Amino acid sequence: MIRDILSKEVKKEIQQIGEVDVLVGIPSYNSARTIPHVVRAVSAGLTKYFPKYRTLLVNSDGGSTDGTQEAVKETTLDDLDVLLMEHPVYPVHKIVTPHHGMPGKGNAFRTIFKIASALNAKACAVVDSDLRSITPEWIEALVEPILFHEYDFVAPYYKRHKYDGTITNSIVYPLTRALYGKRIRQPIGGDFGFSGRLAQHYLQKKVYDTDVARFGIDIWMSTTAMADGFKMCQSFLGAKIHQAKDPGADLSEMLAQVIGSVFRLMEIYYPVWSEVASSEAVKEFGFKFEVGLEPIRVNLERMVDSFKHGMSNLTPVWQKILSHDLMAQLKEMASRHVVEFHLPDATWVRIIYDFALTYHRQVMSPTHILKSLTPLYLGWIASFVNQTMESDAGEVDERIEALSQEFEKQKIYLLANWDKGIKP
Amino acid sequence: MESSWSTSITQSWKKIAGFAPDALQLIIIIILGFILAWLLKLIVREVLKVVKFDVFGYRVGMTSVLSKASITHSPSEVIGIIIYWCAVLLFFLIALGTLELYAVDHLVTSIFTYIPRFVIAIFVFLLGYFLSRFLSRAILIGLVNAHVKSAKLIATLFQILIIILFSAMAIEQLGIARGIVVATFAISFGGVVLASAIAFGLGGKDLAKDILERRFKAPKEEKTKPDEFSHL
Repeated sequence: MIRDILSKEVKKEIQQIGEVDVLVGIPSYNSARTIPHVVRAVSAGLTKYFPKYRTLLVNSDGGSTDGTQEAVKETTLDDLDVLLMEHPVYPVHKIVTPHHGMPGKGNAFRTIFKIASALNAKACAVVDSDLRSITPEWIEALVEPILFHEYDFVAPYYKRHKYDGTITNSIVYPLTRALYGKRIRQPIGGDFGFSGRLAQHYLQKKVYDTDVARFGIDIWMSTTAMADGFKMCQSFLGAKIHQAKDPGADLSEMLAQVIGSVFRLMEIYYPVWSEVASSEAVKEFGFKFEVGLEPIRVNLERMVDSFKHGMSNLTPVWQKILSHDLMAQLKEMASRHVVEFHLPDATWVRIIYDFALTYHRQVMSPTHILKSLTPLYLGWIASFVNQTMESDAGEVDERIEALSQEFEKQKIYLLANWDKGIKP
Repeated sequence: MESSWSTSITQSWKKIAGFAPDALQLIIIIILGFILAWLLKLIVREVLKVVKFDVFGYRVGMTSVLSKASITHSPSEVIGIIIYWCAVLLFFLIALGTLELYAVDHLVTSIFTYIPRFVIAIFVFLLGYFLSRFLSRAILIGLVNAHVKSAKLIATLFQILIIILFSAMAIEQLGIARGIVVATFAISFGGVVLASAIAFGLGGKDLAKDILERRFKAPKEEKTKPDEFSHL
């Protein structure tokens, strides 16, 4: 049943289309500059790899004012002959619609799930609208495991610079792996493939009027698929390059949103993750290749300064969250010089688990808990950079694997303290 | 002589007999008061537990304040005890009112008219205290994350400011030396605002310098450049 989140025009288009096999959604907001490339890549991918299937591209826009919707409507695939060996049986349909409800990516996805459900789509994918590195092969990589191998969820696997995706590498990946037992390397990648069955499952969840819909839809999609027992895999997509943004624009806010979503999901799925004792690899698709990545600048001194500044000001807040032993270790760390700055994996894991426990016990405002993590996170990144400065990508992967194993090892501490109630 | 004795005893007896029903009434109301106060305490405590008031109390710092005052009860139990003694006091005053003595009546009326203002004053003060703790912590974390050097000083000054504001409102509600309170508040508030402005100016000096330099000058050192990696 199509509810009112879809406009009359979209309902009419859905009636005309009837059914589709493959649907690709692009959520957008003020992406007029970058979205034409994404639309071309998606259209080429659908035409080239699924010529005999009924396909649809959906742009769910959050009220852009820079002409994003017009850019999508006007973008066409001119060089079709270069791409194709055979002429497609069906043309790629296109639906461009604003989404309703709370602003954010979550409600853009809800509209995509609705349309997928209404059109009985077999396989779906979503990709970000600001991608510069997307190619037609991404669509094949995200859709094929669903369409031909009966998977329900395809996570992306990117080749990134060793210091890119630090929140993912140091918290989200190892934590979700330890909790739910699936080694999904990019659980907040943003570009996913999923089955029509899973789209309908997502639609039934009542999260679209909560903060999850605004900030944490990526981790929610991955976690829901993991925790609710859907068949998962990951596909290699190559390099992930976004439209340039200021990476440090509001780190504290970004960290609070992502980690807050992971912690909220821990509350919901406690019965699931409390039963998981170890992790397992998931099936990987795609041909892995090395990607030339430009060197990037890291300001180590400023990160250590942030940690020390936090230590000298936030001690009363951290004392409510961390144990005396941890506080003593952090105090000792704060006295070290930048080059000697080293935070052991075990300490970092205990910090994250103590923050999760404090969030669970509601000892203080959730926002205060999450935002007070920022200086500690920067301290950890500084320590990580210090240790891996001379390492290549493979060695960094080994470091992340060791960290993930530490998360799994210490899960017993998290479980033992979860039900202990409010701290005395 | 015998007649005078008997008259005196009779009169005393009559007085006692006349007072007895009032005394009995007084005792019954007080006993009833204790029972109802106990019931009220029980109901309030359970309702507060159901609505997770203890969790709220922990989050706003009520529990740590109680533990600092060596009170081992939970916030919901403390509220229950306060309600219990308020109810007992109320019934005691009602019981005294049944004696119909002018002085007692006058005292009871005065207390009854003062109680609401007293309760409001306490409520205003407590609200200010917990609000100041919450807001100063939010400011402290925000300023630390923004690398403001005097974060702690600014957050503490803000907390003092809020406490002064709410204390003045509470004292004003109690009606104690209103003129002096208003004058003291105005002086203290003005002083704290000035001190905050100076502290903010000093604390934010580096930040303002950074912003202006980034806006109008090319970066001089490698140290000032932002990181290039993506956190997500």
